[in-house]
Amino acid sequence: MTTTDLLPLVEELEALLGPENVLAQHAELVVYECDGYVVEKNVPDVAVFPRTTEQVSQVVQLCNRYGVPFLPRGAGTSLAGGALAAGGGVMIVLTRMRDILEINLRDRYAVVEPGVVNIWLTHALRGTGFHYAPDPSSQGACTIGGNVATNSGGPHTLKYGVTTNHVLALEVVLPDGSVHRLGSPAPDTPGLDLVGTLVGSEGTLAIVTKAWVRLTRDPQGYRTLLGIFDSVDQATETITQIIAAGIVPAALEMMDQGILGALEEAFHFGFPLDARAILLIEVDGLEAGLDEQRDRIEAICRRCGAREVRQAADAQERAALWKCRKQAFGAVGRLSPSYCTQDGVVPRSKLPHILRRIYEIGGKYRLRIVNVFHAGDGNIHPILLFDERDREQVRRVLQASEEILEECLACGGSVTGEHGIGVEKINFMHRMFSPESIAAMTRLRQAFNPTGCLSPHKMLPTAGACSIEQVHPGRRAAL
Amino acid sequence: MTTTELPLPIAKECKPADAEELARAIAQAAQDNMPVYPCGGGTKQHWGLPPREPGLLLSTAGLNRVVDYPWEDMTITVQPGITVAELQRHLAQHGQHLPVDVPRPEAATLGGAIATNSSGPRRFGYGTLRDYVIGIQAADGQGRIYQGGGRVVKNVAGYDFCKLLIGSWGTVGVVTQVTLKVPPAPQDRAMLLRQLRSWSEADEVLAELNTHVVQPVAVELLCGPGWKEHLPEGAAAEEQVPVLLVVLEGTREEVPWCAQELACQWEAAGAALVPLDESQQQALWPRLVDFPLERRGPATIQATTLPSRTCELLQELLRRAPQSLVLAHAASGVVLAHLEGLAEADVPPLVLRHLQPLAHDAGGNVVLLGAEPGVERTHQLCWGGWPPGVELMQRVLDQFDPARVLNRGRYVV
Repeated sequence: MTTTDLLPLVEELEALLGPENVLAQHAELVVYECDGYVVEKNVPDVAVFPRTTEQVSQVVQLCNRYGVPFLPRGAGTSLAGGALAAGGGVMIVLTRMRDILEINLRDRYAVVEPGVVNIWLTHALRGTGFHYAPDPSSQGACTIGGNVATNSGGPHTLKYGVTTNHVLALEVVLPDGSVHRLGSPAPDTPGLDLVGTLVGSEGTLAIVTKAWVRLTRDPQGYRTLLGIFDSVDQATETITQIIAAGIVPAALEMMDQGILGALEEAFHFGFPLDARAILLIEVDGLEAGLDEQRDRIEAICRRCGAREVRQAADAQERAALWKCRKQAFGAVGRLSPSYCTQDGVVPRSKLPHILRRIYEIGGKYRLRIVNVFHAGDGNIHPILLFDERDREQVRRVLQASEEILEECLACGGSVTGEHGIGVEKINFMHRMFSPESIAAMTRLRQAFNPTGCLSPHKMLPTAGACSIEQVHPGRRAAL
Repeated sequence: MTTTELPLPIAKECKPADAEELARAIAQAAQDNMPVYPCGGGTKQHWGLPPREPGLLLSTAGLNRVVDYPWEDMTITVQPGITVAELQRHLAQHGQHLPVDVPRPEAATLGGAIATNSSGPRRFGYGTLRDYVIGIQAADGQGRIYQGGGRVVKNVAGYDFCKLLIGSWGTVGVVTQVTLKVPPAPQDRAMLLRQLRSWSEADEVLAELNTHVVQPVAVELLCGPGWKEHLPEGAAAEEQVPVLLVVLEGTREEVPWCAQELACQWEAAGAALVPLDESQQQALWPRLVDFPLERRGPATIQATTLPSRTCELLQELLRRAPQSLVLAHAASGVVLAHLEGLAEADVPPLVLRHLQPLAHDAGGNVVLLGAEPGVERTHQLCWGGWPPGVELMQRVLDQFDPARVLNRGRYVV
């Protein structure tokens, strides 16, 4: 379909939303050509910025009338191409639906629009004694609608669970434009758990226009520790030992020497630059039990060979530490022009093995790989450094990524812990799931999204759509 | 329970030894257009709409193995026919547990608990099965085996079939294998009992607990004379005012501190604390867990509401059925009641005219659990009407069980 074919649609969209809420010029749309996954790009034909559920529904109905594919987008922080307009068409950008509609502390929920940035809710709750638990590292930018789509995690999900554990109800627009409210802040709605089914469906089943999220009591206190190690093996062994000892910290993060250098340059926190790995370990809860837990963890660190265990002196130092951790990806910009953050999961006892393999694979493909990840969950995030202008490097990055993910699968793990399949990992779906399971997922998609016009070419290898030819032929052919 | 005691019209029986055999049995039944009644321990087969057509009793009793228990990863993979108690015994060997209170755990199976989304008092502290099932395999209504999730604690690859299957009554598939994440068991537990004097006191103390530094794992309200045998002298649940039971769990340092903190505060406020010794606690606990499966009175209901409106719902219930025996997971907004003293004919009007509208107004619902044969099990009485998204649910079932053989005629959709 050419741009001229879409002119009548653009006119109708402008009439519906006002011209200021519709972008149709290529130059204006380039910023929407990709998300945090920069390896693949495709400019959508139109981007719209609805402000109400009703408008989202009407946009969807218009798209259907013109047979044009469409997809939702939040802040575009996806690292797997979840917000890539792989099939072209209309991008429905939800960042102007950004109100916190209700905060109910007594019943422990908040109602938010999809464009509410994760950290806004945290800020709105400050001082109430409650918080919203999922805290992705990108929480300063990413939206709750996007969190729902990808079932986002974050450092503190080790103890508190991921997004799906905190979503109680949803208002959604289905691919046919109908509006539904599913679930309830009251428990155990009879019937199928469609809310749980939609969370993590990567925008392929419905567009979320409102979310009821659970609020969690703030812990009384924290102990935040830094375990400093002279070898990566010692650090990963410590993680395994902590979990095996039956301790579930609130967070258990690892950073290797490569990332520490960049962090230190960016934040001047005072990390020892000669350390090979650092564990950031936090326990929270009642003051009554915290020192005992801290002592147990410290003992395990030392037994595994930590050269030093430090404790954050006060709330300020704790905040500084977490700021470093959460902005680690930003600091990577100091190391190379481009980077690709991988996302894989292994059983926690396999962490020592997978880290060794990551360094080997880096050597094999002559790539620098640095690591900062959710160690307690076994959720690795190797960051592959490269220059995207060099196609030969890009090729090696993809090969190395694939080999790392293969190794995760060989360990009994997953190719994505929190970033999603998007377009990036479609080729891995057949490796993780049997053809029958893929067929079952295709049937589920069929139930919600029978024409396939919503988010085509995402998540499932079978998911083509509409009458439109695939604009982007997939990453293998693209490179 | 023997199969002849099950409240199901059984034409055939099948006890498969593996997932493939189970799937073949479903495929055959689908071909014969014969309903399939999946059955674990058979503890809840009297719930839901009564099945009318003779069908295949599909027992999961032959699928009761632990497949893999890498305890140091805090995960376990099991077959669905394992009883919950047996599962807990395996986990206890490594100091772990599944923190979901399933009634009659010696008989109830994990598969049945998943199908009915079983939970109990500690759901306030620990959540429900959807927070622990991380991988699942099932056979759909055509006998097609499919999987979702995996064996690692964090995983977002593909659609979340774990959620779709939990609480589905087996209608989107009969579960053939499950992977759970299993946390360390708490080191210590304590229970505190407080006699309340009025409903307004109940509301106040619940609101206080919501923001209290001490966060119990269960906050229960008990009402009705039937509690007498399990409560110590001085706790009067029969006076139309509830008794509050708070359950604390955690480390050996935390629990005594919490118990002390709450007790001191309550006593300072002049509240009537009733001491509950170790043996009384141990006798009371299984009664709380098994409560939904007790058969008392003409019917047993489960009402759900917002936590802040639990007392309102309880009061309405007790005003109209004063002899009811009630257990409320008050901090979660769940009310379980045996409608003792009520005539069978009075059950539908109570539920439909008074309780369901009140629950619906708060986004909750009232469903029927067990009932005497004289209580007519209509769809509205059993399930509280059509749930939001019912057309979508039907579209999902069209894909997974087009012939509707799985638990035909029993589920809400």
